[in-house]
Formats: sequence, structure tokens, C-alpha cells
Amino acid sequence: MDITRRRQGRWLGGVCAGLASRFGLSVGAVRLGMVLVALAAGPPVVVGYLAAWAFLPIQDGTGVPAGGPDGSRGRPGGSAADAMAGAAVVVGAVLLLAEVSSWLPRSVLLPALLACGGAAVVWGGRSGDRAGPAAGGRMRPLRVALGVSLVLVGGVAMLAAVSDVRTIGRSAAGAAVVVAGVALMLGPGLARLARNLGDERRQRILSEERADVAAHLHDGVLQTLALIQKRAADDKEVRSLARRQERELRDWLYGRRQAAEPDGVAGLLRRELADVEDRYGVRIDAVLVGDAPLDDAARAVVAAGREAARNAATHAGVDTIDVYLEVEPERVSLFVRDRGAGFDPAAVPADRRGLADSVLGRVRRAGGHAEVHSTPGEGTEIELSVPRARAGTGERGQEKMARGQEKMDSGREQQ
Amino acid sequence: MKRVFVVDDHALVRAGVRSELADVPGAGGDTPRIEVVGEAVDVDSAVAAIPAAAPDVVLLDVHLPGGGGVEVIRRVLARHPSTLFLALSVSDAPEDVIAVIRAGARGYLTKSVSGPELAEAIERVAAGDAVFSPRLAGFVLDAFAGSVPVPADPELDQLTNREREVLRLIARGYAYKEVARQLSLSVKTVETHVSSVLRKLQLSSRHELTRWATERRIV
Repeated sequence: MDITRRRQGRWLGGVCAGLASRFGLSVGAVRLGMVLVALAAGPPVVVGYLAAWAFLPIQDGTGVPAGGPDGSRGRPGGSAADAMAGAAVVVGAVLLLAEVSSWLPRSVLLPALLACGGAAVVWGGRSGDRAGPAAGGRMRPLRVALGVSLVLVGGVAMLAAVSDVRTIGRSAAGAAVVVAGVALMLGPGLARLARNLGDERRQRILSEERADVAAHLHDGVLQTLALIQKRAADDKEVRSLARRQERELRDWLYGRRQAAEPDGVAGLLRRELADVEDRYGVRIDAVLVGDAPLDDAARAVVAAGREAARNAATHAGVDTIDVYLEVEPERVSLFVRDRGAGFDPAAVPADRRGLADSVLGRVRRAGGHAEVHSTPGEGTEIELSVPRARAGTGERGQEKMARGQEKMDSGREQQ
Repeated sequence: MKRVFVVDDHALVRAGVRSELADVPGAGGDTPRIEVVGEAVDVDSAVAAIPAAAPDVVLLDVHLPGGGGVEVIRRVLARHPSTLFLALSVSDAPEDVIAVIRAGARGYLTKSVSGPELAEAIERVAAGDAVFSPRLAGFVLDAFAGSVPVPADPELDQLTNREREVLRLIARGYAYKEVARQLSLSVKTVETHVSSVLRKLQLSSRHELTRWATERRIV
């Protein structure tokens, strides 16, 4: 395990706390040791502490190193204030030390502190909080500029304290001229290079997308259109082809491409209904609200719903069937409705067991509730519902995920 | 007879709407129930032409060159707040549907709607009521599904049980008449419920809808 700083129970940067927890020592002991060593050895320890503050990643009490997958580092802004408070304490302590002992001449100490402060400002953005590009992004250039100038001023002043000012001034000016010259020469070229790279990347993404669209339109839509023209005489076939293509295109456009394996009630139902549409040349307007993991009861309801839709497609004499699925916390309900011929449920001969067995019986055997409402001439509605198993927390989490997924999709099938 | 203005960038769709509506006979026999009084193909032309045509209802496509149906609604309503919009789209994306409704459309229909259904919806919107297709009802139920009551201002955003019942029946494919019969209500009451759902949908800038929209990265 790497050494990290601690947000929890820290005084300054959390360096002592981090060391303590890394080596299994008491925080108090580490702090006392740190202070004693600082008093004895002086600046190197202080600089070392600041460097540790700047470079060591911070770790929250949760044990997740900050900047981890979730990228959250606690309150944004809060740690900037913390850092400033800490820096103030450190500066105060060092000044006090300089006052009571004499291990550092004032003329060197102040510039050194200035430089350290500058470094802290620059690195603070890195080590304190990465509040995200939105928050930190605007302030960052300012922060860097401020920090860099502090470091420069501090460094120059420190050097000036130990050598001749004019020499430094002259060499600094020379260095600045060289740097400016290099920047002038290379700057525009570098900027153009960066821009070109960006443009090229955009172009590539764009052309890849275009190729993807073209491939899809060609493989799917154009071929279906060709088929439709060939089979123009066959009404039912044409409708079914068009509907199937529409479904595919919608799935593709609205990002429901992962239809390979339906992992919930809604996915399975959608696939079953698509199959009924293709086989019987009807249009099924499905409105799906919510989703749940598949269990036996849910499977039974979907299978019964499929049968009900098939019945409507074959007997009702309609083009369109309405299906409504709603997953609630305590039950799954499914309604299959047509505005077709209808029938008198009481008058169904006893040997016509299709509806009773494969639709109603199926759901009732699964512990659910099934009803038929039908009026001759007005249509039929089959109402199915099963209670949902009281799942443990694990499954509930899964369901929540499935639900979030489904929310994106629900109702899209209907058109 | 109601006057309608059609905004759609596809000539085929405009022609289709025109002929479907022309085929719907009026009560008197000869004159159609709905007359198309103007057409526009993009946002700018729609914004320019709608006030002049002064239609009862604007039939509006969601996807339009120049900013989409939402932009048309926003710009026309800014100057003529009494204009009524009914969205008509092939789009399957809930973000499209919710966006036009929140911008102020009085309803949302899919382009597979039949001529008579479309005529009825136009008349309903012209009368100041809301039009919920099964899909829109599904989206709304989904948006408010399983929501825990929010302590602050629950009146505004929660659906009442009756409203939920009405929406469920609409999602099941029931016409307003049938919903009314099923729940032993008058059609007028059903319309009132649906209008109040629409209002909640348009007003609820917080809570469920915001959360729902955020989850889907709609907003």
C-alpha cells in the first residue's frame, strides 16, 4: 500500500496521519516526532513536509484513494480553504522557529517561504481537490500564474540574498529573452499542430460515424426497401417487412442495440411481441413502464401476454394491438387489447382451451391474476398481473439498474 | 371547422396530413372538420407564418431545421401566448417528447395516428384540452413511477391516484370516452385530469421530473 495523506483527523495536510496509518503508529507520536525533528533539523523537514503535502495523494476515510473511479474528493473548494489554513499555520510556525532559534537568516527564510508558498499554490490544484474541469478549469491558469511568479520571485530573492543582485538581474533578463525567443519561434507552430490534431480527430470520428450509418442503412434499410418492391403484391408481407425494418432502425437510432439477450421482463416481452408482429403481420403498439429481473412469475406473464397477442392477431381481425406493461414494486401487470371482433367469454366452447389454458391458466398457476374483458363487436382486453417476489437488497439493486436502463427505452416500441 | 397549420420539413408528411384530414368528413357532410391553412418547413418560416395564418392549432414536428419544434414553440409563444401546439412526430426518444411538452405543446401524437384520431385530437387541443397518446402517458407514468413523496411542495408534482388511473388506461390504448366509461366519469372530467397532468408536467421544474430527466441526461 502506498503512503497517502488522510483527510480524516488531520491537522494540516494529513501527512502525519497518513504516515501513522501506513506504519501503524499513533498519530500523536508521529506528530510529536515530526515537530521535534523539525526543531532539530530545521528547513529540510519543513520543505519535506510541504513536498509530501503537495505530492502525496489524499485518501478519504472510506479507504478509497481520492481521484479513484468516482473522482470525488469531498467538498470542492473546501480543501482549498483547508490548504490555505494549513499553509498559514506552517508559515507561522516557521517564522516563530526562526524567531526563537537562529538556524536561518531572515533574508533567506522569507524568499524561501515565498517560493514554497508559490509551489503550494501551483500544486494545490493537483493535490487538494480536483473539483472537475468546470470548477477548477477557469481558476487554474490564474492559480498557476500566481504560483509560478511567487516561486520565481522567491527564488530570485533567495539567490539575491546570497549573491550579487545585479548579476542575477542580468542573467535573468538574458534567460527571459531566450525563453521569449524560443516561444515566439515555436509557439505558432505548436498551436497549429495542436489544432490540426484536433481537426483530424474530429474528421476521423465524423467519417467513422458516417461509414457506420451508411453500412447500417445499406445492410438494413436499402435491402428491405428492395424486398418490399419485389413483394409489393403481398400486403401482409410488405407490412411485416416494413414493420420489422422500422423496429430495427429504431433500436439502432435510439441505442437499443443490445437486444441480443433480454435481461428483464421488458426486454423479453419486446422480443416476444416483435416475433408475433413478424409472424402475423400485425402492428403491436407497446408501452412499457419499468422493468424487473426475470423470475418464473414474470416469465409466465410474458408467455401469457404473447399468447394473448397471438390470439388477438389471429382472431380479432385487426391491424393494431395495444400492449401495456407496468412494473410496480409489488406487481407486474400486462394488458393486451384489441378493438376487433370480440366474443362472449361465457359462450366459448369448452374444447377451445387456448385462452383458458395458455393465457389465463398460465398466469393463475404462477400465483397471478388474469381476467378477460370482451364484448362482441367492441374488442377484447386481457388483463394479467403477478405479484413480485420480495427480493433481497442485492436483487433490488439489480432491479434499479434494470429500471434505469428501461427508462431510456420504455415506450419507444410504440409508434 | 378548425384551422390548422402544419410545420414539418418533410413534404411527404405535410401532404399526408393534408389528405388524411381532408378525408375526415365534417358533421355537415361536405366540409371537412379540419382545414389546413398553412405550412412551414423550418423554424424561421414557421415563426414568421404562424401569427399571420392565426390557426386554431399548430401541428408541429419535433425535429426541424433551425432548432426544432421546441424553438418554434418558444419563439411563437413569446409573442403570441395563446397559440396552441400539438406535437406530431416519429421520434421515439422520451427526451424529444418531454422537451416539446415542457416547452408548451398541448399534446404529443405519433405519426402512425389515423386521420379521424388526428382530427379529434386537433379539436380537443383547440378546445383547450390536452392530448395524451399512449406513449406519452407511458413516459409520464415512467417519470413519476415509484417516486417517494417529496416533503417540499408535494402538491405540485405528485400525480393523484385518479390521474394515474386515467394515464394507465390511456397507456393501455383507451380513448378518452372509454376511459370515462371505465372509471364512471364524464369525458369532461377525464379531460380535466389529463390537463392537470399536463400542467404538472410543464410546471414541475423540480423533483421527480428533474431527477428523471437527469437520470437520462435529458434536462
